[in-house]
Amino acid sequence: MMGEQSDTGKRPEMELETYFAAARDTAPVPDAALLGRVLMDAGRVRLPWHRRLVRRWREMRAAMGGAPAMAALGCALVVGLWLGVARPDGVALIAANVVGGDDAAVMVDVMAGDAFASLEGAF
Amino acid sequence: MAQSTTDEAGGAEDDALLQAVVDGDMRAARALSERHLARVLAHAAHLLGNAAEAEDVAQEAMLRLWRIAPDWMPGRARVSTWLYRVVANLCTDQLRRRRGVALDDVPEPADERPDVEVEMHRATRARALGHALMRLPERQRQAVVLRHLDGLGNARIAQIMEISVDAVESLLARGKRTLSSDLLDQREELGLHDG
Repeated sequence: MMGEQSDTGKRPEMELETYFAAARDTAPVPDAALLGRVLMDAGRVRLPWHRRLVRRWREMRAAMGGAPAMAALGCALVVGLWLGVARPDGVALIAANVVGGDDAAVMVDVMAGDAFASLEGAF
Repeated sequence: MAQSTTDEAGGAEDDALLQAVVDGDMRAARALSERHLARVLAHAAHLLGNAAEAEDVAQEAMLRLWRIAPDWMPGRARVSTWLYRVVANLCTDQLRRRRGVALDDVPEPADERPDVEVEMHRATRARALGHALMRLPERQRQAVVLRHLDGLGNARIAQIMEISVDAVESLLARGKRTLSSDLLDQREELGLHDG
């Protein structure tokens, strides 16, 4: 008796399932045209310019070695700026020691006299 | 459940793919589309009962996914859950726009398969279910489609519909009761017998 009642209750459920199965089997499948449109949309979507800028900056910072490298670079920049603007006396002295104190000492004449011709003759 | 484990893994993979899409990787866009587009399209078709409108909704849902990609928070929501919600909202809008158009005026999807009896019965059942679903209240329809056509569990449906599991069970029970009486009453009329 109980079994019959249970069967009676399950029957509509099972019949309903045949409808669900039919709907699942006949559901539309995306064709190549729809996939193409969706991908075209994906290709068009771009980050706004300010977001792109932030992203580039982060990438550049990571490529240069992260925060410590950026801090060192910042320090060097500030010191260089200060040296250029304040021109402390010691700087001229250091520069003289480093480059020999004479502008001519750092000039290189690549075509001095017949140097090029003599080089050519050497080969 | 095995499916939820697969879903979790799939969720992390989706997040990574979405990030790659932001970086302009079209292969990632294709992979994401292949993972979700069929489900999105089928869900929209079941909610709307119209394949052509479902295509528009599916395309729009995917477009919204691409647009939100730069702001996507990995691990916060699943792409599939988000898409189900977007599709449901788009379908609601579409049905509102369609209001006033008689149900019978909605074109049926073309069936180009061989005209054998089994196929005919299957198509008739699918069509009858489509019509019966459209007569259900919207939330009941959404719950029934998610459970019985998309095959999701009640907990997941509750998450998608942003309601409790009890509320999902109630929607499903009422929806199926209405569908049963609606469909089984017209079996003879549709020429559908046992099997």
